[in-house]
Amino acid sequence: MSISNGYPLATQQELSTFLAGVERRAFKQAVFAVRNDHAALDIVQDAMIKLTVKYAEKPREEWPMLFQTILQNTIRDYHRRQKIRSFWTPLFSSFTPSHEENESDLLETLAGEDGTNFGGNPSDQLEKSQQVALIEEAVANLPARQREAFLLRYWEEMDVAETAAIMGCSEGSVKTHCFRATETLAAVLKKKGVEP
Amino acid sequence: MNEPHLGNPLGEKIARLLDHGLGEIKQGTLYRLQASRREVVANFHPVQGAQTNSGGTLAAHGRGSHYSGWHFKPAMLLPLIMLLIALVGLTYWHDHRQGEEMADIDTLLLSDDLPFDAYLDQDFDRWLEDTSR
Repeated sequence: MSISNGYPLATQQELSTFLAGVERRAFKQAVFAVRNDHAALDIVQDAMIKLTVKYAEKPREEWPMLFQTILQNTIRDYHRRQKIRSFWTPLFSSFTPSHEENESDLLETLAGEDGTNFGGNPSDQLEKSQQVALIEEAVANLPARQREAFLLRYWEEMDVAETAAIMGCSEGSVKTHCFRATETLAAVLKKKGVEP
Repeated sequence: MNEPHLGNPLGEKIARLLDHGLGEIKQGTLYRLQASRREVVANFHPVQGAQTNSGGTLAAHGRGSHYSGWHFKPAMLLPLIMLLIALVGLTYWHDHRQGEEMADIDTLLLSDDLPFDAYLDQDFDRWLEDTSR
């Protein structure tokens, strides 16, 4: 096996396996952040390309953190571009994705469910699916930094130090963001009568 | 990574439900994600990592891997450095030679052995006329 910078070079298969393992969650994270499927797909593709071009030679165990850093930066870049665009073209800013689009996605999700995702009877499946939809909506409605911290910590299973490094803030800030996000989500779910 | 989510069971439960949500991503979206991944992976060529089934290395065209396009390599600096050294050397040699020529002329003038070219120089004639007045 060839060595680069003291580490074995990554193969296409390793890269493919890694990306296949993270792409869906990355897509969902991007959707929560930008509320637009097409933009989210572009963001994930950009993140994949950047990881491959710049960091594929890094050790495999560093890939998850590097990918998350790239993903979050790409999402921030998207927001920055959107802000500039809506500043210069206020006329067209009303065409940016709205909350209604997200709601229609949830309805489509419910209607399109084939019943294979959640075991049990159809009513259980429907209940679970509704829970998922509510939680996704609640997560998407969190403030950006809280959502980022919460998803990195509890969904991507990063520790506090890694999350802080990815977000470019202190570990204390990460804990605060996570605490507030959890509180907000608990309150929203309680209000909707959902017991996760 | 994979640190247990100490003291936050709600976070874990929500993460599990979000995992269930992954199964509800539309087929078209999944297809596009897969296509993006395949394209990215297809353009990734681990240059030194390619090995034959018999264990031999297929090729080694330099260090590292590349995706596409131009990549800076330290080896590219070498011709540039050599060119700069050559330019500096040429300038130094030119100045040195010019100084030597001036010194030779001065020596000839001081020893009253005027070079033949001086008689053909109009500026020298004018100088002689001015000084003779």
